[in-house]
Amino acid sequence: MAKSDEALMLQLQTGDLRSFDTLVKRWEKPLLNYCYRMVNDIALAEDLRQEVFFRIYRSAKRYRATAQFSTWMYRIATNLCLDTLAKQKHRKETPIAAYLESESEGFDDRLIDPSDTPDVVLAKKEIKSRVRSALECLPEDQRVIVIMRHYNGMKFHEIAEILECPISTVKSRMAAGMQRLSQMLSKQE
Amino acid sequence: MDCRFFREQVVLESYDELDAEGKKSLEAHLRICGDCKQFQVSLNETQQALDQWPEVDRPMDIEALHGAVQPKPLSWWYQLPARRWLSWGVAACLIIVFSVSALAWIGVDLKWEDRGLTLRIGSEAVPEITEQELVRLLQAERHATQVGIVKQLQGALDEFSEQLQVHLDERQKQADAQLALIYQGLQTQRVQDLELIRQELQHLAGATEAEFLETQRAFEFILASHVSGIQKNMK
Repeated sequence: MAKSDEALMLQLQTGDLRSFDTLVKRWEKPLLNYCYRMVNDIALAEDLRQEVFFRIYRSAKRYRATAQFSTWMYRIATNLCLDTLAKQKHRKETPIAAYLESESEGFDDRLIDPSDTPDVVLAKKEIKSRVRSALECLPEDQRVIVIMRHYNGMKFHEIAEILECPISTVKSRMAAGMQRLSQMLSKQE
Repeated sequence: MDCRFFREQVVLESYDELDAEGKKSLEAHLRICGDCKQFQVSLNETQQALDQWPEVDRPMDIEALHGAVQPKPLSWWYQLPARRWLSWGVAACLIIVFSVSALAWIGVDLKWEDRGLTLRIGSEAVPEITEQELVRLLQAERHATQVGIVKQLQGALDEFSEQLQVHLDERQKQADAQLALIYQGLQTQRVQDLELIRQELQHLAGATEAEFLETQRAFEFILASHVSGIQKNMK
């Protein structure tokens, strides 16, 4: 039977690097996708994922098994992503969506089902592009919740724990975010 | 309850986070509210659209992560606290150097003399001297002071003389320039006056000659008249 995340963290506290490797292997994909959808840049998402694992390792001694490991990990990842987005805004860099449209288009192309006809491929690319733009237009407090709930499948109470806010706030932000997304995507059609 | 509440319920229901009572209430509302029903349809489409952004998978480079998390060897500076005896030695040396510097700065003199270890704080100790010697020293100092004052005065006087000479030279030059100007003016005036006198004399000479000729003609006329009168009488 596989060990729980919390048990692995307790092992890591004793200096067992293999338990850390197990945690990394278990969470590398969900964490990468979370960061990717938050910052909309695959290369940056990979850096952020590495930084999250680095911080987890560095602060493993301070970890207490009172909270779920995933809650703790996503809290670190969320703070890191929001800090990164704030810095990008502060620097007034090229809008991420515009830049990444060309940057990660080639990367996402590899994920397209080879059995799709060119029309279907084109339509999928179009929808994906619209979704990315719409998500990017969402306020950060709504985007975090939509990504956590829709893509990472977290429950609202878990999201409330990660974001350290009331569950009612999470629900209302989720509803507001989804309504806004519906409006944006229907407008684009 | 308004549609805003039910739209939140629609979102919760779509993620299966609505309890049975909420679902019942929502279904009842959707039967009578076309707008919320339309929102439900739109939400489903939005969720399907969101699913078109597929997951990515890029495994991590575990070795690189190990490299990042493993502690790097510290430089010698950061290793100092670990070698306690070395740290204490460096600290002691620094304290000694600092103390000696401070004592030297405030003028403390520590010497081994005939009477034993002597500590002097402040300026150098004053040697003992006799009254005659003191008088001699005072006189010498007074003489030196007087010589100094005289030298200073002499210097000031020399400087003043130099400045005065320079000033006088400048004044002399200014006076010479003014005299030259006056002389030049007088000379010009004299030439102009002489020219006027010459012109006046010339004019006067011209006038006298004309009057003379006039008088001559008058005399000739009178003389001619007398001659003709005499000739008539004689006839």
